[in-house]
Amino acid sequence: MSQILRREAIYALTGLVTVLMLLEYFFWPTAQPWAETIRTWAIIVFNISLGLGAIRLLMQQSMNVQKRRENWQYSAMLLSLFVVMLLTGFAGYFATGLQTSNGIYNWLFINIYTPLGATLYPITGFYIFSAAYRAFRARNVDAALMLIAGCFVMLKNAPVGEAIWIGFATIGNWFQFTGQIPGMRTFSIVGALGLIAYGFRALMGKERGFYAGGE
Amino acid sequence: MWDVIGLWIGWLLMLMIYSYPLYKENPAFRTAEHMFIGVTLAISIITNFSNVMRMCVTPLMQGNILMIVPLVLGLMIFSMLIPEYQWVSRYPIGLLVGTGFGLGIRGTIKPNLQDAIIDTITAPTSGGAMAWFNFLYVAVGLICSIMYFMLTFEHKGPLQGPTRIGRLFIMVGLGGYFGNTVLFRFTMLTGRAQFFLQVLKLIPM
Repeated sequence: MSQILRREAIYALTGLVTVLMLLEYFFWPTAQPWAETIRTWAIIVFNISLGLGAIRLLMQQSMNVQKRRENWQYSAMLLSLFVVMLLTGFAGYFATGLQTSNGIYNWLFINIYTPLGATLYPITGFYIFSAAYRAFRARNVDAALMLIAGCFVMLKNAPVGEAIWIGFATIGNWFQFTGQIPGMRTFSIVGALGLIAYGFRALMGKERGFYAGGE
Repeated sequence: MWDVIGLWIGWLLMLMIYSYPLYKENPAFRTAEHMFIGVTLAISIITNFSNVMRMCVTPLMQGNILMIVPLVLGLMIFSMLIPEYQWVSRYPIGLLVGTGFGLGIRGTIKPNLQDAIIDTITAPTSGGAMAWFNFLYVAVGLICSIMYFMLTFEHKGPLQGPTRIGRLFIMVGLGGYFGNTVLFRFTMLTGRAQFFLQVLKLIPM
């Protein structure tokens, strides 16, 4: 019984939900209300499950502060900002139903979250140049083709390209909208086949890595 | 007053983050990084809490008794924190994985397989020689590129030519994609440089 509850019932649940989603789309449109209900449940469970990540992170950071581990000051800063943001956000939410109605929350959102969010991703810009230098070296025919396609697409998109020669736009357009189709479409087809194969393996209970414990 | 202070704080935080490429892990970068994690976590929790209230708790209060199921399933995921009851958390994970696979597979078959094949084999009805050249380029390129991914046979004999050509088509595709990526990242970096100069009033806001 315990074995059934711990393993078989879980695989059966996963399989049933997958099959319902596929049946509703391909063969059984009248099952749409059921599938819709399951999808709503999944969204709710997904939203609640963030709490688990938050608890683990907060536990770890609190331990850093409590035991005065190396660099605990950063953890203290993380926790204090988290508490301020959470309290002000909930204050706004319970007062008006909208967290941004709290002035302090709004100020922190606009002046800390937004600039940091807008800054962290573009940091990869610094590294993409060295990556481009390494990738775009014409050491053989393959690399030369990659270099040519990449340069034409960049010169087509950058305003300076058209200023140098009007033909960059035409050729760049061809590379962007036709030249790269076979390669990209291949990735899309091969990736789709891989996803389907993986999905069916999971359906059969052969892929279990994503379950807690992975047994 | 507070707006101006906020603007300068945002500017300073940006410099702290961009100290990373020059000085690697340093106190300024780590401070900004931890601030971002703390703030982001709080925002995510509030947003998810309001989602759960709107989608689950409010309907439950209004008499939709079925909404107790996702609430219980959601709470079951916290059993992961107790090692001996960890298996209970597999039920909500099973629901999430099942829904994800179902939606993923059905969302993949039409656009990534069916539409891709139809677009490749549909001959052009107008556009002249250039359209036919593009059609043949895509068709031949796709067949050769897919042959490159046939890993059950060694790429020798009759397979050697097509797979070699397929590799070249893939390189053209990757070049175009990488060119776009480089420009996209550079555009974002330019946006931050613009913000940097705007705060210093070197260019208009």
